[in-house]
This record gives sequence, structure tokens and C-alpha cells, in this order.
Amino acid sequence: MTGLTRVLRYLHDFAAATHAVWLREVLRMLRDSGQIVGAFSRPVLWVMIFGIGLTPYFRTGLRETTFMVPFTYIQFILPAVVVLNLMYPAIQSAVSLIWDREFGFSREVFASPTPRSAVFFGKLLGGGTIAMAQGLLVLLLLPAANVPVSYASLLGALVPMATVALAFTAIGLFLASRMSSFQGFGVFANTLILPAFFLASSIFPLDPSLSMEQALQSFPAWLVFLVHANPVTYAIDELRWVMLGYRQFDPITARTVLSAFVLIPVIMAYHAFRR
Amino acid sequence: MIIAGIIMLLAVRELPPDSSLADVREAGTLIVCVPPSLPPLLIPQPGSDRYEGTEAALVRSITAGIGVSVQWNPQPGWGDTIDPSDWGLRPSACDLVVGGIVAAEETRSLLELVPYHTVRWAFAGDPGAGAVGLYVPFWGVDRGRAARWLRDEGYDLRFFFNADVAREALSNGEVRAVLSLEPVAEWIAAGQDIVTPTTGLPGETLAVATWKGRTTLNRAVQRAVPSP
Amino acid sequence: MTDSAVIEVSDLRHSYSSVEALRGVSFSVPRGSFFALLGPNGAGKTTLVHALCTLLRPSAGHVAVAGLDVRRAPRDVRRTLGLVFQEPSLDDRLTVFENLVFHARIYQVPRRQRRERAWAVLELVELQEWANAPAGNLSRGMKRRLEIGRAMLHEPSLVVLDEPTTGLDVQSRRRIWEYLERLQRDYGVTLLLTTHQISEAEGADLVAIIDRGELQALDCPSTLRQRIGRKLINLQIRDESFRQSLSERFTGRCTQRDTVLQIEADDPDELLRELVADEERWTMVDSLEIVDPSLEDVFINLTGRELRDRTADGMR
Repeated sequence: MTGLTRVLRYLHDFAAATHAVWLREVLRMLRDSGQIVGAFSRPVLWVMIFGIGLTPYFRTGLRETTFMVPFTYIQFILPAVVVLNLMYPAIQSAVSLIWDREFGFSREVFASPTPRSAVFFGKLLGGGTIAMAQGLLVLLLLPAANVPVSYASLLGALVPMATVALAFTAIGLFLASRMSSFQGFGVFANTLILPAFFLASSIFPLDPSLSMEQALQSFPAWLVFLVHANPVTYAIDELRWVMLGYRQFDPITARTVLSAFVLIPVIMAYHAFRR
Repeated sequence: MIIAGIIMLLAVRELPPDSSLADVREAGTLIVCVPPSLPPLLIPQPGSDRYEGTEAALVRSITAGIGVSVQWNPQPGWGDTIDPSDWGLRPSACDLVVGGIVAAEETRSLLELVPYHTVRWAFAGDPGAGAVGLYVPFWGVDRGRAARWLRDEGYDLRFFFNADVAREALSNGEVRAVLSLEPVAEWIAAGQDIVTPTTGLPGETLAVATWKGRTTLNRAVQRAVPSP
Repeated sequence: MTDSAVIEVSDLRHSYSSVEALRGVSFSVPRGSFFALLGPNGAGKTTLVHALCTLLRPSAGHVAVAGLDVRRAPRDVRRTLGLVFQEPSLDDRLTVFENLVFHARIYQVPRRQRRERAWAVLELVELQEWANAPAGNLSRGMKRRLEIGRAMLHEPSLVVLDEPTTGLDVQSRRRIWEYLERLQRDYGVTLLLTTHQISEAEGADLVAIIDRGELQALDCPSTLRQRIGRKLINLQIRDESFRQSLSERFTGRCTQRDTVLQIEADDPDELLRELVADEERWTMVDSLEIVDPSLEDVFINLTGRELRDRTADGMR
């Protein structure tokens, strides 16, 4: 009996602490005007300017069609922009870890009776929440892309979105646990985000109707390889499937890759954080 | 700040992504690519370049919505072969593509669809015994599946490629029944034979279409067309 | 171990790789007392404090806080402690109130009491009108007050302050002392404070003098002063030969700082009479004062050196 109450008490404390850390991360983000500007400007830039700008080149007639794909370019890029708007804030949220160390707030947290793991999960969920909120902002642009939105497809979109949000928050936490300077972290984060985004079948389609052999004829082998090796590719593919009913890759492969893509960084970040 | 951001997003998403609608308005006419004939959806009027029929009526409500007149552009090659790229349809030839288009992977790949009506498969006539005709003048329908289903049901199958021929064959008893989508089945029955909807095949969604990337025009069409 | 002790430290040792920071320190802090840990920078104060608040695992020895072993029940120890660190530890982006509520959450203050206690604490440190300001907008002194209030939020039985007044102006410093005194008086909290400033230790109930990782003395300030017993006579003499001859005469009983000669005397009157008698030499004395020994004198007496470099910051 006392054992059980002790366990319940511990769980309650754990949840309360996780909630506290989570709430703090969210509040911090809401006061970071730089991040908010980025969160709103990125979708406009990519969907409204880049997407609309490139759409004419993907117009299809019958004979003129190079790629027979059931979407327009703006529809094609929109799920990728959702992922981009998840990646940035997710990694960025981990900066608070370096910040805390620099300005002493980590002492307040680590000298408290809160278990470190609760702090970790608070940070992870906080970063994930911030990322999800920014990713969902992009969905406001769905009407611009002429994608019919159903609530079911929105719910379905949450799963691959959460995958990316958590995975990149964990990657950020892992990096931040090992890095001491803001600049170093910023440089690292950027060199990670942009290639991961561009090599994810995000802004140019690897022709879906081609087999692997044919794809290798139209694209250099290294590019095809990198796109296939990039876990973000599968996240975007899952999102396209949910939103457009279209996918390029095998769903079982995609889901396996995505599960590993969440678990491995989370475990690595957890260990780096506990040290 | 966040509210301002959301308002900004809601505002920019209303920006026209292209000038297709403006072009149509400026020209004053909406050019519509159609197959030569598809009763009762599109019935050419002899001696004029006008069409009547259900889809013709739909086109008129679309043009009324936009505030322009219709210009019909019949495509003689439409439906001739299995590969639509041989039909001679060109984005430069028209603004709107109409004529028994059914929402499917193939049509969605080439066009931006505006679905307007979901219909069932139906037999014109009584398919009790004897030969059954299959007439599918719809772009995007899997004819092979319909044919397989008929064979699996034990019918002696005959293909038709012309509505008048199919009607004629039914009325003179050459076939006991003709399978098609509901509106066409009714036209073939011509009020004389019974029409029996079947649930053996899943229903199909009829649509009109714009070319890809002509989003503003597509939206204007959506506003004028009832949702299925 | 006595029941009334909040802290029990016995034979605490700690070394960082090659440096021995603590070499066997033992003491106990009675409940409700104001305990000052006085020593120069690098004496081992911070190591001792970190061992107390379970941020550091000592190499050897035993530490108990409120009867709880810091090694066996670190989480329970942390709950009974209120901490004020040497450097600021607030989240500048959160408001003052949010900082407090955050603290209440991670210290498991029941939900219903969080806001109420946060307001009570703000009232205590007189920061109510700043409740909704970002913590980053506060001055250093206000931040420190907030941190003291925050340390009280979860009703600890012991508040540990590591050099709480470092870098603050005189006014803020005085204010912080007022709050600390009030805490001890009104709430019966035990205060443990580390400092390298004598003035801060003077008002304590107990002063432990620590140097080079060892406890040099532990007693109440007046007793420590009485240890020296005698009065001190400060003579300012510019003439070097005169200074020299005096210091030779009182060898072992006098120390010299610049032109000031300090002589310990059991009976200062006798010494003065003797000085005045020699009229010619008496005129060479520029100034004279008779003082009670300060804790600094005790410190010098115990360790043979001054507490810290003479800077305006530390001196009275």
C-alpha cells in the first residue's frame, strides 16, 4: 500500500515537473519574437513564393507531361514546408539548454528535487509542442494549394508531424548537451537542417513512376542514394500520403524508418542529457 | 504578434496563385474542350456549334458564375485510344475540360478535377440471360474491372463504343441489357426499358476539370459546381 | 547527532583530482540559527555548500540535512533546502511570477497553494508590483531579492545562501540583510550563509571560519572576539624608526599595516600612559584609536593572513 502510494506520488511529481519544464519552454518560445517571425515567414516564403513561382514549370498537358503526378507543384511542396517548419523550431528549442547553462538557470532546475529525466521529457515535449504548433501554421495555407482538407486527414497528418518534431527536438537536445556555445550550435543546426530538407524529395520530385534503375538514369546515383537514406524523405512521403493520397515509397519501409528515426535520437539525447 | 502572423497567413493565402481566371474574364469566353458527343451529358446540336445535356448545363452555370460566354471546342480524337496523350488535347486549346471525366488516379495525374456528382453503375434493360453490353464513355473508369465483373457474373459480354449503337442493340434485342454509369444507362434505356442500379461495382464520381496550375480558374469552377 | 541540529557534517573530505578542497570538516548547525561560513575565496566554502545541497558527492565523510543523509536521500534533502546561488539563476524571459510558479512546480508545491505562496513570497521581498515584469528587467539587487523569496517558496527548513551579496551595491545589500533577519525571526528558518566579507558574518549567531579546506574556529562572534581577549590599539606613525622601535618592543603582540601599527594590550591604559610620558615621541603619533578586535582580527589571528585582498568591497 505504502509502496503503491509512493509510486503514485513519484509519478505525480514527475508529471508535475515535466509539465513545468514543458510550460516554460512554450512560454519562452511565445516571447521569442525572432522565432515567431521565422515561423510565419517560412511558410509564406516557401509555399506562396517558391511554390507559386515554380508551379508553371510543373504544369501538365498531355504530351507535355514529364511527370504524371496527381498534384500541382504547390501541393507537392506544401507537406515538405510543413516538415521544414517543424525542423527549425524543433532544433532551435534545444538552444534553451545552452542558454540555461550560460545564465545559471540550469542550477535552479538541477538542484531541485525534480529527477533529471523529468526535465528531459519536459524539454523534449516542449520542443515537440512548439514545433507542432509551427508545423500546423503551414496547414493554414492548405486552401492556397487547393488541397481539400478533411478532419480525418488533418488527424492523420499529426502522426508523421509528431515524428519529425520529436526526432529533431531530440537531435537538438543531443547536440546542445555536447556543445557549449550558441554560435557552434547555430552553425551545426543549420548545416543539418538544410541538407536534410533538400535531400528529402521535398522540392524536386524523384520521378515516382520510374523504377530504381530508371531513376538512376535521370539522377546521379549519389543523389538518389542520399534521398533514400534520408529519414526526412519518409516523413514527407507519409504526409503527402495523408494530405494528397499520393506516396513515392513503400509504406512499411517508411514507417519502420520513421520509428527508428524517433527512437534513436531520443535515446541518444536522453543519455547525453543524463551525464 | 501571433495573431498578426495568423492574420498575415490567412491574408496571403488568398493571393491569386496565377492569372488563369483573370485571363478568362479578359477574353470574355470560357473555351471548353469536349468529346464530339456523349449523350445525355453532352449532346451536340446539329447545325450549330452548341451542346445540350447535363454537363452542358453545368458548363453554362459555370460561365454564368464567372460572367463569360461559352465557346465549345470539340476534340475529335477524344476517346479514340487507350492512351489519353494520343487524343490531341492541349492546354492551349481550352480552359475547361468536360466530358464524362471520372475522378481516378489517371485523370488526377493530368488534370485538376472538380468533382460534382457521384453515380452508380446501372443496367439498362433486364440482364436476366443472354448477351450484356458494356458501354463506358468515361475517362478514368477502369473498363477492365467492369468487364471482369460482368464475366464473373456469368454474362456473355459485348463491348460498345457508340451510344447510338448501344441503344439500337438494346432496342432490337441484340443484347438483353447494357451496363454503364447511371445517366448514360438511362439514356440508352430511352424510357422504354427498365434501369437497374447495381452495387456490384463501386460508384464513380463525375468531375469537370481544369489544367494543372490554373488554380484561380479551378476555384471559380468549384464555386459554381455543386459538391458531390 | 542532536535532534536540534539541522545540519550535521562529520569529517567531510573532498578532492578535485589533485586538489584537496575539504580536509575533514565537522560541525553542526542548530535549528533556527543564523550560521555564517566565513573564509577567503577558494577556502572550500562552495564545495561544502554543494555537498550540502547534493550537487556534489563528497569523497568521504558524512553529511545530514534535517536528519536525512545527502547520499541516501538526495531528493528529500533537496526538498527541505532553499538555495540562493552565487550567480543569478532566474529565467530572464519568464515573468517574476512565472519564475516563482515554475519553482513551486518543480519543488512539488501543491497546485492550490502555488499562486498563494508566490504572492506571499513577493510580498516578503517587496516585489509585488513587479510580478508581471520579465525577470530580465529587474536590477541585480531585485533579482537577488526574488531569488531569496523563491528559496522560501517551498517552505524549506533551511535556506543556504552562497555569497548572496556579491556584486550588489550597499543599499541592496542592506535590504537583503533585513529580509534575512526577518526570515530567521518570523519564520524560524535556519540560515546558512557563506561569505568572504567579515561584516556579513558579524551579525550571525554562529561563525565558522574556514581556510584551506579546514575548519579553524566555530563559535558565536562575540566569543570569537573574546578569544583575542585584549583591546587593540591602532597607532598611525609616519616616522619609520619610531615604528620600528615600537614593534621591536612589542614583538609578538603587534602587527603592522602600512603606517599603522596595531598593538594588542590586556590593559590599554597602561600602555598609553607609557607612550604619553615620552613627550617628544608622543608628538610623532599622528592618530590613535582603541578598538575591540573584529572578526577579521580573529581571522588573521587564526590563519596568520588577511581574509582577502584589501578592496573597497570587503572592508568596513
